[in-house]
Amino acid sequence: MRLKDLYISALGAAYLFYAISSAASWLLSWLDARWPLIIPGAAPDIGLSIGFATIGGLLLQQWMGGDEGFKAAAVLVGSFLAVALMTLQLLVAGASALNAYILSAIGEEWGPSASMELCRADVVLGAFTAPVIRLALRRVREVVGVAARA
Amino acid sequence: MSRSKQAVKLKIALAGNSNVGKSVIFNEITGGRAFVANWPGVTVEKKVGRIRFRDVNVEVVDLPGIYSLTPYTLDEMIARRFIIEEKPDAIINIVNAVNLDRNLYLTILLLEMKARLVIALNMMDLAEAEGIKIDVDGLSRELGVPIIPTIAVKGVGTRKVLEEAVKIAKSKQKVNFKVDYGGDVEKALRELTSIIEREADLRDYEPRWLAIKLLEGDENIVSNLKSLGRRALLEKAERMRAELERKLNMNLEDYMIEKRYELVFKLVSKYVIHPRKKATFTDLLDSVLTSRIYGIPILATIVYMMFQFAFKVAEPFMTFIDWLFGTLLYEAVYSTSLPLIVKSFLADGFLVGVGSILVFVPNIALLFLALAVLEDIGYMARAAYVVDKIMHKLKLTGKSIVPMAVGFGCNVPAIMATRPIEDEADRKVTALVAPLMSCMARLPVYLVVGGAFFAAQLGVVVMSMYVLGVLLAFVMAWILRKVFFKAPSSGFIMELPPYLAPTLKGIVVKTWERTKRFLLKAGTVILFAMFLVWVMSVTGPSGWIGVEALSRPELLEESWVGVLGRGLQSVFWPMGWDWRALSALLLGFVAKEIVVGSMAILYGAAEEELPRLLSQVFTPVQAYAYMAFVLIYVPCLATLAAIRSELGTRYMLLALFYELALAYVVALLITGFGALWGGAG
Repeated sequence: MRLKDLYISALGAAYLFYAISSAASWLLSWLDARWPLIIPGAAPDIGLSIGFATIGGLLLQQWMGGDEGFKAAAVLVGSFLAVALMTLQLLVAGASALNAYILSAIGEEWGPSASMELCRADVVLGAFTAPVIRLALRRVREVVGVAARA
Repeated sequence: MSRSKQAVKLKIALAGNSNVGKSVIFNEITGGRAFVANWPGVTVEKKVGRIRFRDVNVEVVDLPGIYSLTPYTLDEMIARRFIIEEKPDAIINIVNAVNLDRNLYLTILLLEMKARLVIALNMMDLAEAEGIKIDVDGLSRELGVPIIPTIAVKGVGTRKVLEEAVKIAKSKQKVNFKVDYGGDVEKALRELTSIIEREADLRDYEPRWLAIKLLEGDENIVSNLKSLGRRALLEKAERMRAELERKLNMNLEDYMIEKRYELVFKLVSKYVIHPRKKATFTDLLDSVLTSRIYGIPILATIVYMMFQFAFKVAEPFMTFIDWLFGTLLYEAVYSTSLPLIVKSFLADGFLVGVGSILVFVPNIALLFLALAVLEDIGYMARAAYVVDKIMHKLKLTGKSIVPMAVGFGCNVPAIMATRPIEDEADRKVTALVAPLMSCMARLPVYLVVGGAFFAAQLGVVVMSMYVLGVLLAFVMAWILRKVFFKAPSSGFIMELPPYLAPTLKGIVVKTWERTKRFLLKAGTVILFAMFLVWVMSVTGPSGWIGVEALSRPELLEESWVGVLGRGLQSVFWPMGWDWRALSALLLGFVAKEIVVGSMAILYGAAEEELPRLLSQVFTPVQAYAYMAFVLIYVPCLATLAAIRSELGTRYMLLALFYELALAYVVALLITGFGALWGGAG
């Protein structure tokens, strides 16, 4: 197994870990708000948990069989979703900062700072996954090229 | 001005299969300047653009996306009727270069109608990437029409298409294209054609095309000719058809379709070279995006991202609009020296109303933006495919996903978006359950009522409303199928377009058009409704109460709104909602957008103070039940009007009553379970 495959697998495992953490955190926040599950970067959000689980599964597809084309496309889609989630969270952080600025300008109370929005698993893992898009694209092109020559 | 110097006016239509880039070409040609109306007599959207091209005024009409010109689907009927009745000077037929064998069938049908065509051979870049080689000149010669290769998303070739269309439209040249249907059929066609040519009242129709339709037994043509008293001609055509079917030993319509496809395959094999079949980039992506394991989770992730984008990124814009209308302008009006009644009308009626609409425009625009991107990339077609298996089990079709997804924005276009569903029962069921999709107008209620109790989990609580709507839609679809529409659901036919990079212009135009439609609706019905709320709040059975009623609940209770709200309390006692919450529901009949605005007036508070006030009059369970009731109960007036015009009064009443009953039952269950769980207090 090559180093880059290990890197992708490690990311996949991290996404699955945060999928479980986010789901557990969300469930606990519902059951008893006094005992939140504190895992750095895990937001108590079931929608995010589904997203993490999907990305994790796609990045770990190389361990789960299927033809080369499917595996390559799975990694491409997974990494693309990871970067989309990261971009979304960056936009949310930006919007949060702008909202705080407007609220303070009009003399209203405003919530936690935007920097809190950046310390999340979707941002950090997304940044680590961004380079995978290039690798995955190259692999998909290789598969398409091989099929064309066959 | 002399006659010779008067500008020529031409009408050019755009026709093509779905997902071939028709909208992109329409926007390129018209520069995105289009107005939207309905096709006569139906609520299918008609997009028209007016441009000046050199010395010519051109009206560009976007026909619905179609695969054929049969009388079996409304979109195809609309296109056909337009060509027959409005006789466009030219038609731009957009075909997908990657899938010519599928697309050329419509081209053949249009040519049979003797339409003056220009073919825009679109997605040439994708065809080249797949190694497809097309002899454009040869195909153009054989069909007798100009063919312009285009890459619409990059604007390549679109101007040339318009140039050619204007040229042939001005030339008024005759179209000589013919499909050879073989000896006996051709003989019958000649005989019928010569009869039709002699009849003055059939001159609207192209004679050979009418003869073909008569031999096919086209229901719509037969009925039209019956109404013209052409029984002899119909009987003759019927005799000929029976004779030909006996000779051919097959249905004549099927035979003629076969002949057209034979021609299409002949043309494709002669002028198109396909490389050996290989896995393409699109194939590989589809293997994952539509896979059994990942298809649904990927769709769920994308929907989640779409809603996070629409709700959270919109926040600062909403804060600003809220402050502008709720504070700055509101206080500015009250600081003037106008009479109190005028100030109250302007501030409490007009500004509160306008503010409560505009504050959600950022949400709506961002949601439409996300939908436009997904549509233009080509993902929405995959989403339909992915859910088709499930939809089929729930007695719907994969195509129902489009109206249902549009319903998250607004239920009115959702009802209209059921048009492309060919199967009548599928279409009716989809239209009846589409209002259960939580439209953007319900969002303010979730945010305000939900925000009062579930601020920390607001995203999840709001999402639960969306999920509840979807689940109830499936349950109702199943029930409606079992009770009213027992015919089996039809199969799923949808071409998966290649993945394309969306264009900024296309997305902006689409987003703006949809947002504008919401704003126009808001600007008319809702503003009127808000005025009505204000009047009903300051008057009552005893007459004029005064604008003080808006800030003094004991006076407001004496108003019409209070009287009606109190009347409803006897029906809704198990839920424990107070008369003001019930009055807001009553007013929400007009439009769901006004529920929050009405609550603000009824509780005598600015919108930002509402959550705090509501936390004193609701319990969490009552609040959640109220949100569910708002989700489910009667669609707004505009949606009801859309259902009536699409399905008739009977189905409108069905939608009205089943949703009211369902809303009551669900709210009651939530209240009951909440009490059992100990959350009512």
